[in-house]
Amino acid sequence: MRRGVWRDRLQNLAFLGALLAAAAWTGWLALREPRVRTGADAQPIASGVPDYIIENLTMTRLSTSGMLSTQFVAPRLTHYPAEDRAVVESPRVVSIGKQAASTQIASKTGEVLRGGEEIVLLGDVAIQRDLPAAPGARAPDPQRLSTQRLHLFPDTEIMRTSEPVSITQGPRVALAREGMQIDGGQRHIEFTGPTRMTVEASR
Amino acid sequence: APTHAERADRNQRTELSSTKGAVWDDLKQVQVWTGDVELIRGSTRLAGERLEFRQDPDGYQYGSLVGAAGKPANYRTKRDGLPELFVGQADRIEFDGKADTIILVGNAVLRRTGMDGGVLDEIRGARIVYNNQLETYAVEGGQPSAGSDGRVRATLSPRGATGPATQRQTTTPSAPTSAPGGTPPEKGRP
Repeated sequence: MRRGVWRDRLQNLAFLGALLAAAAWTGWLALREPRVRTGADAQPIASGVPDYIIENLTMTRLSTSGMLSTQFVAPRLTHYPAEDRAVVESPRVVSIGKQAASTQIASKTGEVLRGGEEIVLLGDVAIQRDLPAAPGARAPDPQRLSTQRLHLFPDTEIMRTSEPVSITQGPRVALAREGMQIDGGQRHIEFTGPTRMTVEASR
Repeated sequence: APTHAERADRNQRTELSSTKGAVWDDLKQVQVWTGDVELIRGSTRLAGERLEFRQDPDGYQYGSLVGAAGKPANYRTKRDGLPELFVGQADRIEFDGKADTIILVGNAVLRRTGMDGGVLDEIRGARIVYNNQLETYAVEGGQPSAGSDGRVRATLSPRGATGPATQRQTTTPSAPTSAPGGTPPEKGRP
C-alpha cells in the first residue's frame, strides 16, 4: 500500500511540473507569437483589455553555445492583444557580451512590441556597460548612462534614444542633448547633436 | 622664469564639446568628436572640425584635431608666469599629454603674442613641434608647392621686447638641403 502512495505522489508531481512548463511555454509563445483571436467564435477584444498576465517573469535567451546571452526579468507583464503589446513593470535586462560589452539595464516600466522584436524602456532608464579589456590592457572603467526612454532591438544588439542622455565613465562625464545609439555589434556609442564632456584632472 | 605653457593647465579639468556629437569606440577607447569641436583645459584652447581624443589609464590625454575645409585647426595657451600667449594654427594639430608636445602639421604657424594679441614672434613651416617640457620648438620646411616655396620663416622680436614687435628680424634659412622633407629643422627657444 505504502509503495502505491509514493508512486501516486510522484505521478502528481510530474504532472504538476508538466503543467507549469506548459503554462510558461504558452506564455512564451504568446509573447513571441501573439495571436488576436478572430473568427466567428472569438469575441473581438477591445483595446486596453489584457488577455493574459504573467507574474515574476524571467525570460532567458541562450547563445548558440548554450551560455546565457540575454535575460529579461519583470515582476509583472500584462499583454494587450488588440495592440499586440505587453506592458512590463520594473523591467531588468541583462545581456552578456563575449567580446562586446556586458550590459545591465533597468527602468520604471517598459513595453514589449511586435513579439519581442522591440522593447521600449521608459522612466529613469539606467544602463551600465562593462567593457571588455583590449588585448594587453586593463578593462576600461564601466560606463553608466541615464535617459528617460530607450528602444532596444535585441536581435541586432542596438539600443537607441532621441532623448537627452548622460554618461559617466571614470573621470569623464558627458551629456548628449539629442540622444545616442549603442551598437553592440559594432561596439561603439554614437552621440547625436550637441554633446559636451568634462574630464576631471586625474594627475 | 621658465617660459612655457601654463603649468597649472595640467591640473585643470578638460571641457570638450561639439555640435554634431561624438562616437566612442568601446574597444580602442578612442572618441571621435565632430562639428565645431572645442577643447578647453585651463588657459589652453583647441578648436577645429574633427577631433580624435583618447585618455590613457594614467590620465594623459592624446588627440589629433583637423580643421574644416579652408579653416585651419587652432591652438592657444598662456605662457607660464608671463603676460604672453602662444597661438598656433595648422591643417592638423596633434597633442601628446605624456610627452607634453604640440605638433602643428601643414601650413603651420606658431606666434608668441602679448595678451592683447600683438605679435612678438612668428614661425612658419610645414611642421612645428613645440615641446613644452624642454621649452623648445623645431620647425621643418616642406616641399615647394603652389603658393609656398617650402621654406621655414621666423620673425623674431629683439630680446626683452614685450610690446608688439616694432623692429623685426627675419631669418630665412639657406637653400633646402638634401634632407628629406625640405629644409633642415630650425631649432629655437622662445
